[in-house]
Amino acid sequence: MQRITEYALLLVALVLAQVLFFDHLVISPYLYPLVYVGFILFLPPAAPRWATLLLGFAVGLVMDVLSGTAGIHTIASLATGFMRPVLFGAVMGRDAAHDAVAMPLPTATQGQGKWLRYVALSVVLHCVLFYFFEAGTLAYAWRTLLRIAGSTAVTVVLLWVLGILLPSYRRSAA
Amino acid sequence: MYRLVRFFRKYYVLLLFLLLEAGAISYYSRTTSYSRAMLLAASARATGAVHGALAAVGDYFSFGRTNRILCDRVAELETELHTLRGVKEDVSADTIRVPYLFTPARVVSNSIARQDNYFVIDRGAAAGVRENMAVLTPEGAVAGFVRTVSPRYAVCMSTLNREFRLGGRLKGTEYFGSVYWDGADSREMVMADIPRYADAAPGDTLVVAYSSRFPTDSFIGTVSSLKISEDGTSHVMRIRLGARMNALREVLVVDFADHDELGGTAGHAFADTPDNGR
Repeated sequence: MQRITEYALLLVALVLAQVLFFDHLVISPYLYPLVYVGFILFLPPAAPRWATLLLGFAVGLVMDVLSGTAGIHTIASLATGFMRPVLFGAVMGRDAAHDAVAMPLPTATQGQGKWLRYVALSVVLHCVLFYFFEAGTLAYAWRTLLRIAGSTAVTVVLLWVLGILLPSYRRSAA
Repeated sequence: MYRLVRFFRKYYVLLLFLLLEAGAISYYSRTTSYSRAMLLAASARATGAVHGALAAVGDYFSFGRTNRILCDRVAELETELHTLRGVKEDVSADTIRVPYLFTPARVVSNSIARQDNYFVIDRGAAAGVRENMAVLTPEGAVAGFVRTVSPRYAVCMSTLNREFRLGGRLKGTEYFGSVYWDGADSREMVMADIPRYADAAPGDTLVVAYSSRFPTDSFIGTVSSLKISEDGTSHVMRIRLGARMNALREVLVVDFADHDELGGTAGHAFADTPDNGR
């Protein structure tokens, strides 16, 4: 029950941060973090694949409704939710993926390097789908690739900071 | 039968993924800019109050700049007023017609990071705001136009939207062309179709040439660089936008009295965005 509450709070916090803050960051078209993807990436690695997929669908749908986008968040989140177990297993090892029931944070996994690789691969996948569907054309592919690179970089950094902060929050809440 | 059950048990997650993804892609492919604006209007109804509160916090930090803009504008209008006082006796009241009516509004939500950006203002149908009204900055620079309205909010298509089109003209000349955003830089738009023989240089001012929404000669921006088009017949210019789209707070909504008549009879003749999908 406590875990469900924890994830519900994480979902609400990330979605609100995305919709109320990051969606309105007016720095550059090339730096648009998609932090809500952290909800999918922080799900327990041992969670059933169908659950990860459906939760990915749910977070994408909520994002589309709140930010008025027409299915783009859902398309990207579904793919990330579907591929998450595969990517986690590929980077961390299959055994780690089967056994881990805790939130996969940088401090709780097998080294921050592996964690960063897992998160970076997942965010790249998410951003590739999001930005190419948003562009709706391959005409300016190099520009879309630049957006993917910039947004992946800021999203990974923000998720890493969140991943570092979460354990201390959990300790203080305990 | 058993094989079929086994197949589904083995691949049900993949099948579920393909089914949901196909549904999402199908929905995405059927949307138009208008339906996206409608979606945004619906989400603005849900999140508008929070966005409004956050915008109020932002306003606090931009009071100084807003005051300066207002003072400059007051000075400019006072000058114009005193100039016109000299000629007003020649004009009788029944010949005076107000072609453009300006309503102030505040931006409660804005984005520049997407390819098709919109912003939301805190005036909607209840305040007389209607679709297709132009939106200018307090300095008079083009910022966008109203795409759809709810009772209390209006969703506006930003100049930073790849579907935004406007007829622009180099100030002081008769040369005009199409102005649009190519999605590259949130501070710049592109102007094409100005003939190669036209005398143009960086720093030249670009204003609205013909529009069914914007007042003629509204400021668009200044030429930052130019090159010859691939076919060698015209200039392709990058235009430094007059509106600071990343700091858009206060705006003016412009009701053009002739919009309906003009749009109905000659809408296709204007470069402004056509109402796709409606």
